[in-house]
Formats: sequence, C-alpha cells, structure tokens
Amino acid sequence: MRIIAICFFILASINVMAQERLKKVEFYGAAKTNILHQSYDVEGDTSNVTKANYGHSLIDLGILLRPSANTEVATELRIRNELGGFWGGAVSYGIRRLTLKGVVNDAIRYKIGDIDLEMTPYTLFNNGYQDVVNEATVFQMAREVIDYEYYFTDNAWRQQGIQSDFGFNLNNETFNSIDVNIFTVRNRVPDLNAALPERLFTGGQVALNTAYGPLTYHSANLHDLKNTVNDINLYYNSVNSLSASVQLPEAPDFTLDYEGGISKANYEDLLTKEQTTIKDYYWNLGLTYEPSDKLKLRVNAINTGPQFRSPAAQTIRLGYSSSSNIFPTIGNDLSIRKMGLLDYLYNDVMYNRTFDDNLDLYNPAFSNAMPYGLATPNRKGISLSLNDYTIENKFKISSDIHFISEIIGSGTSNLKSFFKAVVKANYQHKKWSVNAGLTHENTSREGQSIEAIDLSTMLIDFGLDYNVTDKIALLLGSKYHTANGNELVPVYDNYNNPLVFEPVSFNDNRQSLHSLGLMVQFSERSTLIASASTFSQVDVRDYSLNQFQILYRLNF
Amino acid sequence: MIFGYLCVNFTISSFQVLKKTALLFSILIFSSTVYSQAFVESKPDVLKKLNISGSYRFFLQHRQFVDPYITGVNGLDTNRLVDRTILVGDATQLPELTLYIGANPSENVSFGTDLTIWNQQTGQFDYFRGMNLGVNLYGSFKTPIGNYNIRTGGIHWLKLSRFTMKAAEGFNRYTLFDRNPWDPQYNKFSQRYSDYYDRGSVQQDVRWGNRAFQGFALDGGELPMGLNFTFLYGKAESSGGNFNIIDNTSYQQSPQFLNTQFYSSLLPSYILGGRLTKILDKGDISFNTVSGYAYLDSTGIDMNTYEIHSFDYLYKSKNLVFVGELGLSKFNNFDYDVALVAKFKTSQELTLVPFDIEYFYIGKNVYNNSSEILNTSIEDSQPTDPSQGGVLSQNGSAMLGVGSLANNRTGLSINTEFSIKKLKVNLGQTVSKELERITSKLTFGRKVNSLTLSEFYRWEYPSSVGPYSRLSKVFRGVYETVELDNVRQGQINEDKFFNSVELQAKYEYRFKKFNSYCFYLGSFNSAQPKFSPFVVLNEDAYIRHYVHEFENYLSMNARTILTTYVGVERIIGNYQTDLNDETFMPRFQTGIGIGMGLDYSLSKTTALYLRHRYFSFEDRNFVLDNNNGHETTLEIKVTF
Amino acid sequence: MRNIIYILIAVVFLSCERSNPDFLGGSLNDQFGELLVLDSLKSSESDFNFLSSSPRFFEAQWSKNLNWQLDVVGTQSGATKTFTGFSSQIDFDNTSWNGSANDFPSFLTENCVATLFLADNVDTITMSTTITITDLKPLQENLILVADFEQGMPVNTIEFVQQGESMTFDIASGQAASGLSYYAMGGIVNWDYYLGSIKVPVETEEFSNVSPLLLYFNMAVIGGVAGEVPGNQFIKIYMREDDGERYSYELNPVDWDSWRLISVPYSDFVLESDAANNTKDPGTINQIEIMSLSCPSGPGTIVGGGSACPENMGLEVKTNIDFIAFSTNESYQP
Repeated sequence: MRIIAICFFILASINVMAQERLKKVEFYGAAKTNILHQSYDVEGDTSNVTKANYGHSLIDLGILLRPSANTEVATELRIRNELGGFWGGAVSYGIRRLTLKGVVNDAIRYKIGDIDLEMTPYTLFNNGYQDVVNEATVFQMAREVIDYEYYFTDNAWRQQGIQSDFGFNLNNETFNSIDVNIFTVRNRVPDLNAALPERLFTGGQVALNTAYGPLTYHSANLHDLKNTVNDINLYYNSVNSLSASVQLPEAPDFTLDYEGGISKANYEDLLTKEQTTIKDYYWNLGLTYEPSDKLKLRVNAINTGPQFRSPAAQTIRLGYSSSSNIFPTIGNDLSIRKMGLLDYLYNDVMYNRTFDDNLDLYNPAFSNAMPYGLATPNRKGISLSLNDYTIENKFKISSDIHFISEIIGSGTSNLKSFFKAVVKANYQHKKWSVNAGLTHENTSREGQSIEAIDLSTMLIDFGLDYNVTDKIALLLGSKYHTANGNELVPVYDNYNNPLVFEPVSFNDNRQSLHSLGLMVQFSERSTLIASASTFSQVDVRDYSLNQFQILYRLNF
Repeated sequence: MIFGYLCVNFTISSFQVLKKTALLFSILIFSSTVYSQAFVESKPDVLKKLNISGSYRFFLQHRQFVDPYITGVNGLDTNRLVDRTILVGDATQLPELTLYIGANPSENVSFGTDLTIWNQQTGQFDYFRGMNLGVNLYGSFKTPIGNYNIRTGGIHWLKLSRFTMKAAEGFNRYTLFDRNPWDPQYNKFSQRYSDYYDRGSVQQDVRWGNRAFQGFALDGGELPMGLNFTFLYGKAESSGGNFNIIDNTSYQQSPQFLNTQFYSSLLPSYILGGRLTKILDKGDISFNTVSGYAYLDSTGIDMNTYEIHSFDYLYKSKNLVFVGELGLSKFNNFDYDVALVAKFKTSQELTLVPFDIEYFYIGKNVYNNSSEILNTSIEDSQPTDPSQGGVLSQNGSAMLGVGSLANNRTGLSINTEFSIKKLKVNLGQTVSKELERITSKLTFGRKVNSLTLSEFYRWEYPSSVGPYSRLSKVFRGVYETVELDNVRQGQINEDKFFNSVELQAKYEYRFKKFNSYCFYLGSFNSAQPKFSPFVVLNEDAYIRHYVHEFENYLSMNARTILTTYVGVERIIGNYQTDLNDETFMPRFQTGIGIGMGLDYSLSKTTALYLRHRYFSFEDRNFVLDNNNGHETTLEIKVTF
Repeated sequence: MRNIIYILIAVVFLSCERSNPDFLGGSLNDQFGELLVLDSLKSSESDFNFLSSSPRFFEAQWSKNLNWQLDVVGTQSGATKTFTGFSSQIDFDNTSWNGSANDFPSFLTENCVATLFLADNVDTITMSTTITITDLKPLQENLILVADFEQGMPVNTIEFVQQGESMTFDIASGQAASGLSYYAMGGIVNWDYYLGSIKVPVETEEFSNVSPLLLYFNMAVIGGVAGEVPGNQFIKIYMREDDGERYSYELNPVDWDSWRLISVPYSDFVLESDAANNTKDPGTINQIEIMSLSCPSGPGTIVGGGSACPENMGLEVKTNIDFIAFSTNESYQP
C-alpha cells in the first residue's frame, strides 16, 4: 500500500510538471490563396456569360489558450480578402471554431463547443464522397479544401455541444477496461414562427474491452425538446446497437465482427393527438482473414430493414439538388445547368454540414446500391473485400464486390438487385506513381415496363505523378463517369417512406474531367499547385468547361 | 433482454472489481495517456513564433471656415460646406490601428496579413474593421536551375519596368509639412527631415515606385545564362473587382467554400505579365510584357484589352548611366503605337554638375494604367469610382510635373543638382508637346492646400464638382479642368506645348546643438499653343501656374521640432480659357497656405504631430470659387 | 465470455422478425400503369326498390387504384346521388345506395342514369348504365313530416297573404323538392317587408325527451335566379310552444335557385317573445309559421320604419318551400 502511494505521488508530480511546461498561448492555423479562371462553352448559346475569374486569400489563425494545466480553449479566426478587393475592399471575417477542452480531477475529459463526432456507420457517420474511388493527387488538393471548409475529418460530423469521455480499468484477465463516451449536441435551434422545437442529438458509447476484443453499446438519439415553442409536432429517433469484434483463438488470422441494432422513429401530432411510430432493425456480420499485413480478406453480410431510420448515419455529403453560382444557366432559354464532376470538386455546390431527420436526395448515377452508406434502409446482401494487397512494396490493390438486393420491393413486389464492384490500385516506381480506381454499379429489376429497371454506372479515377525533384511534381489526373439506363427514384413523405417514384433516365450520359498540374512542395505542410483542367458533359444538354487554378495552401 | 442480462452481470462483477482496486484504478487513470479514441481528436501543430507589429495612429482634424467652400449652385440655392467640422480618423480611410501579423512556419514559407481597426468616436460604438493590404502568402524553393519565390494573395507591391508596371517616383520634390499616414517613425526623431535633406528622398515605405498587385507572382533568380524573371497573373488596381456589400453577420451562415456571392460580377478582369532580365557586365537588358483584360458589361461582350511589350536597358560606366525603354502598345482595336524613353545621367566628375537628361516619346495609343504613363488620350469607359476599379488620375491634357510621362506626348527633361556648402539645390525642366490634337481640355493639379481641398469631399472621389463643376478629386489631391476655346470648324486648331520648371533648395543649419532644416520648393508651369524653350510668363500661355513653398523644421531639442510652412500659388488663365459669365474674364486664382506645427516625441516609439494651417483660395474672376479658413490636425502615432 | 458474444450474435441475428407490407410506397402500377377497364359498369339490379332489404349497388373494375366518381341522376326529378373513392373497383362496399340524394330534390320513381368517371394523369374513361327506381326509400326513423304538400295543405293551416302584386301563396306542381308538389310563396309588396306566411299546427309530444340539440327542423327551400328576384329576400321561421314562447330562425338571404335542404337544430332558434320558462321544450311545439319577407322597394312610407330598397323595384319575391319535417339525432336525408 505504501509503495502504491509512493508511485501515485511520483507519477502525479511528473504529470503536473510536464503540464506546467506548456505555454499559455500558442498559435496554429492555415492560409490559402485560391485563384480560378474558368470558361464555358455551349454550342449556340449567346445568352450566358462564358467566362469567370475570381479568387481569394485567407488566413485562419488558431489560438490555443491554456489558462490552467487542465483547461484549453481553442479558437480560429478567419480573415479573408477577395481577389480584386483593394484597400480593404471585399474583406470578410468570421469565427471557424471555438472549443473548450479540459480534464476534471484528472479522470474525466470534456469538450464544449465545436466538436467532431463519429461512431459506427449505422449510428453516427458522415458517409464519404460518392464521386471518388481512388482520386488523383491533382484532385486531392481540391478535395482537401472541401474537407477543410466543411470540417470533414474522415467520417466525423462537426457538431456543437458537449462531449465527455472517461474510463475504468478493471484489472481483470478477461475484462480489461470500460470506456465511456457521451455527448449532447444541438442539432436545431427553435423557430417560433414555424413552431419548430429545439432539437438535440444525444448519445454515446460504452465499450467493454475484453481479452477477446471489444464489446460496445452505441446509442444515437435525435429528439425534440418539448415546450421550447408552441408545440405542434414532436419527433424523436433513437438507434441502439451492439457491436463486437472477436478474434478466434483457434484461428488467430480470423476475426469475427458484428453489429446489430434497432431503430425507433416517433412522430407525434399534438393537435390530432396521433402518433406514428416506425421501428426496424439491422445487423452486419463480417469475417476477416488477415494472415499477414500484406493481405486482408473480408466477407460481410448485411441486413438493414426498410424502416430502419438513423438520421446521423443515413446521410449524403453532397447536396445534389444544389447548383453553383458559376455559370448557373445553360442555353438561350436559361435552363438550370446540370452540375458535374468539376462543380463537385471546384465550384460552390452545397455540401451538407449537418444532418436532419429527412432522407437526402440522392443521385442514382453516382450511388444507387447504398446511397446512404451501410445504413441505407431496405438492403440485404453480402460483400467480399480484398484490402490493400501489397506486392513487392510497390503495387497495392484493393477490391470490394457487393451483391445486394432490396428486402421488400419499392412500388412493386419485385425486388431490385444491385451489383457493385470497386477496384483500387496504386503503383510506385522510382519517381513515378500511378493510382487508379473503378467503381461499377448495376441495378436491375424484372417486371413489366413500368417497373423494369436497368441502370449501369461507372466511375473511373486515374492519376499519374512524376516527381521532377523531391519538391516538384508533375501531376496528371482524370475522372470519367458514365450512366446508362433508368431508375425510379423515391420521393419520400414526412416519415421518410417512399410515397411516389420519380422516373429518371440516363441515355449514355458521360462526364470527363482531365487535369494537368504542377505541384511545388515548399515544406511538409505548404503546397502550391497550378493546374489546367477541362471538363465535358454529354447529356440532354452538352457543355464543356475549362479551368485554370492556382491553389497555395499553407498550414502552420 | 440479452443486453439486459449482460448489463446486470457486468454491474455485479464490475462493482466487485472496482471495490478491490479503487486506489490502483485512480493511479492508472491519472498517469495513463491511453483513453478511448472513439471520438475524433486532432491536435494541431503549433507555431513557434507569430510576429505581430503595427502602428496606432490617432488622427483628429478640426476645420473652421471663415468663408465656406461652395460645393455647387442650384438655381438660387448655393450649397456650402458647414462652417465647422471635426473628424476623428483620416478621410483617406487609413486606419487607426493596424496590426501586421506574420510568421515563418518553415524557413522558406511565410505569410502575413494586416488587421485594421478604426474607431470614429461617434459615440455609437461602431467600429470599422477590416484589412488594408490583405493576406499575403510567400514561399521559396531552390533548384539546380535557379531560385524561385512565389507571392500569392495581396496586396503585393512590385514593379516591372516604367512602361509595364511602375509608379512614377519623380525627383523627390514635394513638401513634408503635410504628413502621410504611412510615414514611418525613426529612432532619431528628426531623421525624416535629415533623410530628405541628405538623400533627396525620405525613407519611403514599400510602396515607393511600386504598384499594388493581387494574385500570383513568381520570381526566378540565378537562372542559367545570368537570367532572372518575374511572372504575374492577377489583378492590378485598374482591374479591381466590383463587389456586393458583405454583411459579415450573415456571412457566418453561408457556405464558406468559394463565396462567389461577394462578387457582383465574375467576368474576368486581370493582367498577365512578366519580365525577363539578362544581367550584363555593366548593366542589364530586359524584356517586359503586360496584357490586361477587363469586361465592361454584364454579358461579357464588351471588353477592354491592352498590351504593352518593351525592352529596357541599363548601361553603367564610371561617369555615365544610360537607361531607357522602348515599347510597343495596343489598346482594343487601335493600331499599335510606340513608346520610347531614353535617359542619360552624367556624374559630377564628367560635367561639373550631374545632369539627368531624358527624351521621351509616348504615342497616343499607348495605354497602361499600371505604368508611369498617364492616360490622357484614350477614352477607356472605365468608371471613375475606385471602388469599381477606376484609377484616380488626371485626364485630359494634363499639366504634369517635371519628368512625368503621359501618352500622346513627346518632350525633353533636364534635371541637375549641386551643393554650395550646406545649401543643396536641384532643379529640373521639362518641355513637351502633344503629338495629336485630341482634346480641348487642360487639367492641372492644385498644389498649395491640395490635401485640405481634397478633404472637402470626404469618403468619395467625385469628378467635376465645385461651384463651377471643374474640380475632380484624386487620392489626397484635386485637379482642375480648363476648357479651351481652340476649336474652329469642328477641329482643334492649335497644338499644346507644356513647360514645367521645378526648383528646390534645401539648407541645413544648427540651432543650439541640433540640426534644423529649411526647404524651398518652387514650381513654374505653363501650357501654350506654341513652342517655348522656357516657361511662358505672359498671356500667350493658356494657363500659367506658379507655386512657391517654404518650410522650416527647427529642432528645439532632441524631442521637439517646430515646423512652419508658407505656400503661395497663382494660376492665371488667358482669354482662350473659360471666361466667367459675369466678369467675362478668365481665371485668376491665388492660393495661400500658412502653417505652423509641432513634432513632439512622447517616447521612443510614440510621437505627437500638431499642425495648424490657414488656407485661402480666391479666384477674383470666378467669385464663387473662394474659400478660406483654418484647419488644425493632431496626430499621435505609436509604432510597435 | 467469448461464448456469450457468440450467443449474443446468434440470438440477435435470428430473433427479430419484421412485419413488412408487400412493397414500399405507392404502387407503380397506380402511378405509371395504363388505365384499362377490366369489368364495365353495371348495377346489382335493373330496378331499385328501396323499400326492400336487398342490397342495391354498382359494380365495375379497372386496372389501377385511382380517384373515381359515380353520379346517379334522376331523369325526371334531377336528383343526384354521388359516390367517390380511391380504389380499383366499385362494389357493394363503396357504392351501396339507400335511395337518398345528395340534397333536394329527392328521387322519384323514375329512370336514373349512373355515370362512372375514371381519370389518371394520362387517360379519362367514362361509363354509364341506367336503372329504374320502382319504390322510394322509406322515411327515416323518428321523422315527423309536417307538410309535403302532396295532398294539399295540412289540416288547420292558416295562410296570410299581404296586399300586393303578383302575390303567389299556393301549392304548385312541377319541379318539387320531394314528390310532385310544393308551396310557392312570393309576389311584390313595395310598402312592407312581410309578404305572407303559413301557420301549420304540429304535435311534437314524442319529442318531449329529445334535447333541442338533437331535434332538427328540416325544410326544402328554393329562391330564384339572381337578378330576377330581390337579392335580400328571406324566410323567417317561428316555433311556438305551449307556454307562449316564440322562437325564431332566419334564412337570410334566400339567394339560391335550386332546391336546398335547410336542416337546423332547434337549439339554434332564438327566443323572440317574452320569456316564460326561457327553455326550449321540443315536446311542446304546437305551431310552425313560415314567413316570406323582403325589403320593399317603396316609394312611400315603409311599415315598421326603415329604408326602402329601390333596387328591388319590379322584382318578384320567390321563396318556395317543400317538405317540412322534424327529425331526431340527424338531419333529414333527401
């Protein structure tokens, strides 16, 4: 006991001394200059502006304040100046982040303010981009700008609220420890005029770390707070699940993963005193074989019910219905221009920064099998994956194949079948590196002409980098997308059930984006890229866009 | 149910475990750095050092008219400025507090920005904040084939050549009594005046001779074959953008990605240019080019394009410097035109006194608002408002100072300087002629009380204002437009010749133990229909413009300098210029400025500058254009 | 522990069941399918005897669910009965008919034409069939018919007709609300609001235990074509009780030109006389008075004071009535 106490004080003092060496104020941040010059070509179009030139420079200055050893405040100020705004013209400024972080009694960590949250693909998950399979370096630079601006960090959601985590060490051979993470964030402020109540998102995880792997309970609840407005409708949605990952001792190369849970969505109309409750469940069972760090094979089976609702996981990053302010119209009749790969990467289309209780509009040309990620309702099937198979440390390949179908039909008793194949390959040799990716999806449904579906889409990414020196590289990138066939896209009612179906058809639609760039790496965290790109879309209305961009990003 | 069972079992066993190992558990938590990582944690790499400097400048101005200025006449109504005005802050919108923030994240990467904050002391707690020079990012890298620097963002101050991108530097002949907001402070308090006496120029900030630029600039040096280059792509002041009003409260909610909604038009307006220099033994030779593009309408049909390509050279020997530039320029569909400037400078050893002799020829179609060449001959449909990209400069046939360049003009300038003990004298003369008869207007800039007069129109840059609608405002100055009666049968029947002489004398003397300075600046200009080797002093000249300015800076002690100023300006028109409807006589203007002031050093980095000026302007034949009064300014400047 | 996890997985994997519908969302066939008639419109019988208890309905079937409408129109009376719904067929469940009409006029023993309207986004289909009403529906229970004018005026009815022009206060035949006869009230009186009235004695003892809220006064009323009759003509109804209280109700204005059922609960009537017990007693109603009134056109002094309505000059009041009845719990079904 005396020894334990002595150890306690020694360790405590080391920790305190280490913390006292921390500075009270430190700075970090990022800076960027982005200049674009774009031109637009539509045959016979004499009504639309055909050129655009704009850009900006900005600094995001982050300040870390440490008023005490256990407390830290981080804030990020943005100062931005548009290209062409001389003598203080066109200056904008804002706050990008304000977070308080700390430790209570050296045991409980907490964060208040802007926090990044992520759990499982079925509970709290920001599904990735649908126009990326294995993107070229020249496009990754633009993609990183989107990630930064929208606070996309892997698959986390940036939210505003409170989070806390703590743990217990159990000192047991079988049960090692328990980790607890809980949070509450504000999803919506009340709107008195529209009688929309305050909405919170609350949840957490309790993980029991065992000798065989973790067993974790997850909870994600989106709920309205009563009496914050003159209530007319109240809503809540809860998802509770259990996940486990077990390494088989008889076969240590094999790991069994499981996640299963239930969802319950409740809609209460206080005027008519009616309630609508929607419940369902899901499960996901996977077996992984990893004999070495060069090979990982996985088989997965999923079953996600048609009434499964998980607003924080059934999301789509890109707002497909949004359009850009750059060349917004096409043709002399000023129709809305259909957005494409170049807009998704460079222009100001809308990306969703948070989630709500409505299923987002999706584009079947880019993702039809699982548009809302693994949490897509009404799906069952199996998938086979090969992850990062490396050959001679130069060539790396990954592949996923999915065989999925609906659980019940949409508008008919016939079921849709989905086939999705994803292949990614990377090759490095001396100064050259090549990366390529392919996603192919096929959707089909038998039946009469009004219900028959046959949709085939493909997305190809290709990139070629040549390192002229260790700091300068020539980059080439291409993206190619095709869609052919038809689909019936559901229009959802207030309960996210399909109400009617909107027919869409793709008559050999093609988009291609090619880019040639020069990248200069000034330091590990500072990069300049100058690129020239060309984009063309073959659709009901064909058009092409050309672009020259200078992007200088500097992190500090 | 299963989950409930697990929970129960877990609770019982964990309680026992917890009870047994309570102390050890707290030790491990306290010292452990391994927490659950289910939530995303990203810790930034912090910057080692952030450089913050800047200045605070409190500026207060009190103006009291005795005879108020008439802004205009509307029928029987005469609009005058109010008798008394107090301004806190500078009417030229230069801020109170400027912070320069910069850092070097690594040895070859740096960034900087400025933040400006301004309190107009209105009692309404309304603070103006923004930027003055913008966000600048820098980077450099070395390769076996040269060293490269990049500059992005802006505003950057840079220059290429006189014809492509440069601001006129002149011969440093101006007065110091009126302070500029950007005037630096020195360890030695009187250094501003001593520098001016010693070198003929005060230490100027980075803008001197450079032009403002935003965008991307790449400099390459130490290239093979003794080459270096600069490449520019972006916007000069003349291609500044049109912007909607930015509401910074709603900006926070908008998508922060591209924010093109700030632009009222995305149509391109930019310049593309560069310079390639070959270093020689005794000088260098360079090729320069700038092309500018600007759309004028919202459908992208009407646009201005201009280009100018030139060679400039520098040859230096022991006693002679030969420098010049030859260029070709085009504007829209006009023909190409030639611009030439050739200067040689002699040393004192060669010619007893040094001479600077320059010949220039600038064709009428030469156009580049980013160069030293003033555009006086081409109608470019550019707005006059600088917030819409307009460039503030005199137009029409301008009476310019010695050494200034304008298109549609050819001429010769001679400058020299010499010293007699503590007296330094420099003088210069320019004789020039318009190449083609394009306009029947003349313009001249007011010199004495010019800054005071420009502040009659705070916050805006109007043109053709004043009681006779003949004044236009530029940055910290005004110019006046003269209508000439030289059109016969629809044609301008006379050429225009310009003469300009400037004489400057500087004298240093001791008062007590400190150096004090006395400066004189005289300027004599005329514009007339016939050639004259010297300034025309009679009614043959359309306009005669004479200015005398005396300044004295008396150092009382190490911290106190008394300043005095007297300026007299006379402008006389002949009967071929505007005649007043009532007096039927041409302009006969007299401007007087009498000033006194005090510079006082409050501490090493803080100084107080007090100025009082009596200003008077009278045109005895255009009686509405009379005003006089007193203006007092107080400036407290702190640099850090 | 590992076994617990395996069991957990297996249990959750296998235990849950779903009760799923056939498919999600609306049927694609309903949304996009072609509209085809599978079984054309027919009636359950050619003759509809509403006195018998056998079902009377219509049948048809088509290829998709949609909104449909079936109208049955009497060729003689002009009475209309409408059925609507959303389905892919009509049958006993959704077109069972008890002989009532949407409103007055009521059906007669007559031939009727039944027309079915089907429409989707693309096509419109109309089908018709004819039936013959051989016997009318019986009156509903607890109905007291005060007057239908088929056999003339009710006994001891008192008529009052003002002096005027073209005064018509008489039983007329023709397009009645129910049966063949109705009571016409109208004319031109340019010096008084009151044109005339009928007072009909009634016995309502069987309504003694009926709440005024549940006792309905029903009457068919018709005005005239706008522009041919005064725009402000109206009817006033008096209910007189044994205790001397008089309750009134006004139909103001009567500005429609097709028979219309007026069904008013007794609780809506207002006391107009001196109060006795100030309580409506449905079982003590002994008289109904129906008055025809209109603003007189003048000129000259108006009886009762007030201003004349010169716009009514030359316009003949027409406030005809038919089928006066009391019902309980619900309005009368024409």
